[in-house]
Amino acid sequence: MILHRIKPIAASLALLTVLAAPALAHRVNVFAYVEGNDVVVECSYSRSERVRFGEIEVFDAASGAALLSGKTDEKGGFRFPVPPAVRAAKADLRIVLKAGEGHQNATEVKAAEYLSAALADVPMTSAAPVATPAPSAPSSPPAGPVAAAGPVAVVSAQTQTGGQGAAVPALDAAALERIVEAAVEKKIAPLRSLLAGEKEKGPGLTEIIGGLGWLVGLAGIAAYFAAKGKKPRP
Amino acid sequence: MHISEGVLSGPVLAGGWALSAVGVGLGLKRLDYDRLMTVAILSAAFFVGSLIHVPIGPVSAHLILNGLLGAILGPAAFPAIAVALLLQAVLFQYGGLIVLGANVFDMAGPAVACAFAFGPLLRRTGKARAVGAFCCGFFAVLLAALLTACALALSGEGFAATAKAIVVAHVPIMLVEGAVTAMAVGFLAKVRPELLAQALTR
Repeated sequence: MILHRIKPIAASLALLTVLAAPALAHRVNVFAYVEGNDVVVECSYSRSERVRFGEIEVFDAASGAALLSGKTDEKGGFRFPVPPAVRAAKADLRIVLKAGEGHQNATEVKAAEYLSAALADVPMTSAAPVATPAPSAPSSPPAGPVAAAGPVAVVSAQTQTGGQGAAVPALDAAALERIVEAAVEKKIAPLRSLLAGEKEKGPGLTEIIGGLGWLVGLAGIAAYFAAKGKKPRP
Repeated sequence: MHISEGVLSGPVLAGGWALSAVGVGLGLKRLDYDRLMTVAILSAAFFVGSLIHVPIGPVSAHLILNGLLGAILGPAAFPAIAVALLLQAVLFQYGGLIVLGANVFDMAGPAVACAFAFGPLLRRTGKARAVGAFCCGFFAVLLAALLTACALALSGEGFAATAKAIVVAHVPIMLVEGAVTAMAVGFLAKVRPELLAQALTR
């Protein structure tokens, strides 16, 4: 009887479920990672829909002090260099996205993340001029494409200082670390964006079916108790 | 129109919970055994409705269907929407648990208000009923947008700008929901008239 009554509604619901299959999420995602000296923030409602001109605020995660703020660009991206004071204090960063109309989300960048990523540039500028008087090395850009700049500087360092044998072991250890850091950074960049994409995925079929199951279950429980109250057992 | 966690201020959150608790309580009181499954299924429709997503300018809006729930369920729309929003918060991370009270009232309040406001029209037949149902769908979304803007304004965001942004983004949604509600009510009136009668004569 009840089943018969709800048939039309059930049919429209089934239609809704079908329509919803390629649906998009209604939630804002904020994803941040470190690239060289910069923190890169990506903001989206879903994989294809970016948060354009959303407000970004960056805080010190521990103290809550506001560090900087800005707006995302057309593609929902925002990039800022790690402030020197933060780097010195080794503070974690908390990045809050306010997409407007009550949509907000936040993410954190740990100090360890930007410290290790920046290893590639920071010692480079200080170490390179000491060991190599080569004109190309000191002018290597600090925040530029690290992977490209690293090997050049080191090769020139080795050819120039190799014959004299001065300071070679110390330089090599540091240089090697920089190269490895830079290379790993470059290699895992696609993985990072893949992970970001995974994180941004909307609700899957599992969640949707699960939710419907919950609703039916709750109705069943309610029906059980309602029936119990109505007709006490003989 | 799910408000995210951490946007609203304490008093607004508390107010939302208080109003929603009253609404859910009254709704449950008016809900009888025979209509349990109808409520559950419309709750499911509301739950899934928010996945149908319409990109409009810089924001993204989705179907709400609160007017439809109001028109068919009357006060019972309150618990139906509350449960669906709870599941959306837990499973999809839409909104959140702390702001749930405010979100429930923003969606269910207008649904029930419209059911009472347009009830007399819905009880008639033909064009009058269709107009009533359209108004239910249309104004439930409009009121929900205004209530959401109110909640945000009370927590510090400027009312006029926020309200304008939300309402403008939802104008297409209002029209679609009006049409959907009119069709659904017309269909039910033909197929299962007692469904509507039950909701509206009480």
